[in-house]
Amino acid sequence: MASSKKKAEAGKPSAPASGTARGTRKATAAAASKPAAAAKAAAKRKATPKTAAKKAAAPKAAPKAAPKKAAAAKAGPKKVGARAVPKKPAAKARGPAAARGRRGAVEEHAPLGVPGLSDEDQIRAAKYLPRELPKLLFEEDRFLFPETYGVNRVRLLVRDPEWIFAYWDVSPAGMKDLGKSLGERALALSRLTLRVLDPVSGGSSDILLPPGARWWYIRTDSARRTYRAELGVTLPSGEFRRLAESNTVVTPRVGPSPRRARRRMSYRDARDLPPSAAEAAGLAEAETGVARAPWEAESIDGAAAPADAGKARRGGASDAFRPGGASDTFRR
Amino acid sequence: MPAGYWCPVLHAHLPYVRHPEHPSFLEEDWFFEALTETYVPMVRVLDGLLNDGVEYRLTMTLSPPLVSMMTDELLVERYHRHLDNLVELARREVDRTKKWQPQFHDLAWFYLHELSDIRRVFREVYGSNLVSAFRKHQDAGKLEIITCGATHGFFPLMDPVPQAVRAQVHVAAQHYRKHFGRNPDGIWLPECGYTPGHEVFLKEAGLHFSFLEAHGLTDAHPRPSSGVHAPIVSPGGIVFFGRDMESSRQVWSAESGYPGDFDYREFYKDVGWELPMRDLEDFLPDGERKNLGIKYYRVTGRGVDLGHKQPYVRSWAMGKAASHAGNFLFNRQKQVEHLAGSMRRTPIVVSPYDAELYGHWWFEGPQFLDFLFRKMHFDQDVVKPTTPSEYLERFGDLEVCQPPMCTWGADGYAEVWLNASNDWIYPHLDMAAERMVELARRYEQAGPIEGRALNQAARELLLAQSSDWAFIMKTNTMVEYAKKRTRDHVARFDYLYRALSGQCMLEEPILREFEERDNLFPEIDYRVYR
Repeated sequence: MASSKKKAEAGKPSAPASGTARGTRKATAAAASKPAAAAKAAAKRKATPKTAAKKAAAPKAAPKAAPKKAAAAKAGPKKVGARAVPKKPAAKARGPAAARGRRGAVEEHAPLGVPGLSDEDQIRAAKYLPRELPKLLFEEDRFLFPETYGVNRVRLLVRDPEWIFAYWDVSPAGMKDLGKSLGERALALSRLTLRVLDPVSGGSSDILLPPGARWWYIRTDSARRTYRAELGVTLPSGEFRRLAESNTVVTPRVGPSPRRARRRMSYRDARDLPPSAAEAAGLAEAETGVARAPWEAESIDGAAAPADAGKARRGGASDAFRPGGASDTFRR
Repeated sequence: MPAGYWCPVLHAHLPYVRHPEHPSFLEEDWFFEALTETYVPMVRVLDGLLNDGVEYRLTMTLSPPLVSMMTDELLVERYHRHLDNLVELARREVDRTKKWQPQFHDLAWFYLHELSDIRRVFREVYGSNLVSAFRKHQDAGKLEIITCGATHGFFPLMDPVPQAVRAQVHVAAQHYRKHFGRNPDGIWLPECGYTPGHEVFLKEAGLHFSFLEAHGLTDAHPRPSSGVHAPIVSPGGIVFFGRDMESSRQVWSAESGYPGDFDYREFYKDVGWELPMRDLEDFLPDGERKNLGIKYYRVTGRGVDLGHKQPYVRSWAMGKAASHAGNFLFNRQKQVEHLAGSMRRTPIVVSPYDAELYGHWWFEGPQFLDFLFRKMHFDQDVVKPTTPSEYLERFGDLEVCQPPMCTWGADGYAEVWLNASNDWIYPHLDMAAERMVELARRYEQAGPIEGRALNQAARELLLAQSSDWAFIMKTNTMVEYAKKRTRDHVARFDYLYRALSGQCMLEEPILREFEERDNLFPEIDYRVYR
């Protein structure tokens, strides 16, 4: 939209100023005579791939079209017609502007060294320097963030020691399948549920999600603890059907550690430590110092949590893309 | 041998803002203002120190987007125009104030000289390439330049897709090598955002040290014996320096910090808002008022409203900068003497600041640093400036402790970047990151156009991940712009993903448009996401 508007505006004043731009003259004249129609046409054309291909060839004509662009640049910000634009400085502006390319400008450091111009004129002229304004083909402002990406997934982020943030996506096709197997009535009575569990020491808590929610802040236990979430559906029978499993996160430790540091390492040794050692240390860290006592929060449906203690590891995309991985499989 | 060391760190970063599709763009002024008020003045200060043989030491992050903007032809050209306009405005102000506001006439002359000199340093001394200026000081062994996340992505919130963190680190390190001709030794984790386990990505990129907020060290496990005044090494082999709160507060604090002194220049009273429009029409191309950088008033007093501010007196402000430098030095001397008495090693006081605090926010900041380094060099031997690498070479015996997740945001964790104002972006950023990994794995080898599309998809993802957008949404400043940038990059990524997945046609002109608009990291290789 923005670019088509600009085109229409640019058409108006640039007609008399585009004497040298042979290739673009016709188009400009057309735009000048019927700006609204031209704008519409431009908007329409943008959507079609053919125009895009044509525009690919456009740069060839670009150097010749430079003076016209000067006028276009002028017209863009100035809202033509709102104020009479003095012709003289604009005309003069084209001289130096056309003479020096972008590269020249950087190297010469004499942006407006035209004899016969006062300082004031030079400043005014600077406003009209040609910009190589690309015609925009892709319209980002028409993009809407999707409601769903069509996959079952859930992810956790640690916000601070007291809150973790869960967000998820549910595949509409998957829900349809579920509806088929359960019956529409049973599905309507089911609730999307986030099961938050502690994979290290056990315990879980279910959050029945309100319809339409896409994310949820979860209050954590005060101890440093490991969390994982499962997204699923709680059926009218109370049964939990898992749709996706999240990454594993660990909340940060707060306050000074009771243990004093004893181990030492030299900077030289630290530098020489290979990335694999860092990775091993990272995995070990995820397991040290986390709360071992069972999580006392009461589970709403009283379901027992899986007790895969000691298997806490960092999740991530590597899991998500494993063919048939837990996060994408609809488990029945 | 000094009793202790002071390690000043300036974190210089701006999001990548470049809009070739508009003749001028308000948000590009962020970069221009930063150049005029912070980066060029800082270079001038460093040059002076170097010429006078002052043994200064400074650590600076130059974030990849900032370096990319400093070396971008279009932005540099626009900056020339911006500077010319500014000098012309100052010249007109000399004329105007002579007749109409004689109380500001001297100050108008000051601005004319100052801005002309900034222009001279930028154009004539460094040939419009400020990166070369910083590189010169690094090569002289006085300045240590460290890298940052490729686009200042906030690592703790990228944790579900580890490859995204890896790409931020690797692309940044590669970019650093290209511009500084050597490997970076250290990294400024964007927003000091650390999550245990991310060491592996730093190690892979050949990085050795970083910085954490104070509780990253004080809450580390087991407990470090020297608090934040000695670096620690995590079991993963990365050295972490902790931020010293006392020295930070002296400069950062709005209440008790130096920049709030009544003689310093008032930030919020700018001629762009003060003068009648007829005097400004040549400098406000869109006809909308904005800060232009010429300010005539001082802070004046606590709670004094803008209408009652008093004129700025440059000599008073310089006097205060010198006296504050003396005060800061005195405090550091007492601090390291006290610490040295209770510690078994030579203490280091690490003071990280946003670079733009000096100059842009605190106008006299660069002069403060100038006075401080000179006093530290000539007047005493108790505390000396150092860089992390230099300190580690001398004092390399480190305690092994594991820091917790931490950031330097309000309350020390991720709330600034994850709250009701900005949480909606994460499902989309995360999905884009997962899709990028998927593409990188799917395309082991890519044809020329697919290769370009994949590389561009990586650029769009990186740009969408800038922590600046979430930060702006939270601070409620230029929210629409931050939302637009998030949307634009996600939209472009989405198009490229669909095109590369066969869901729509990959049109070369559209791809070229993306490449021209988001043109940073020309050397990127999408395989970094594998």
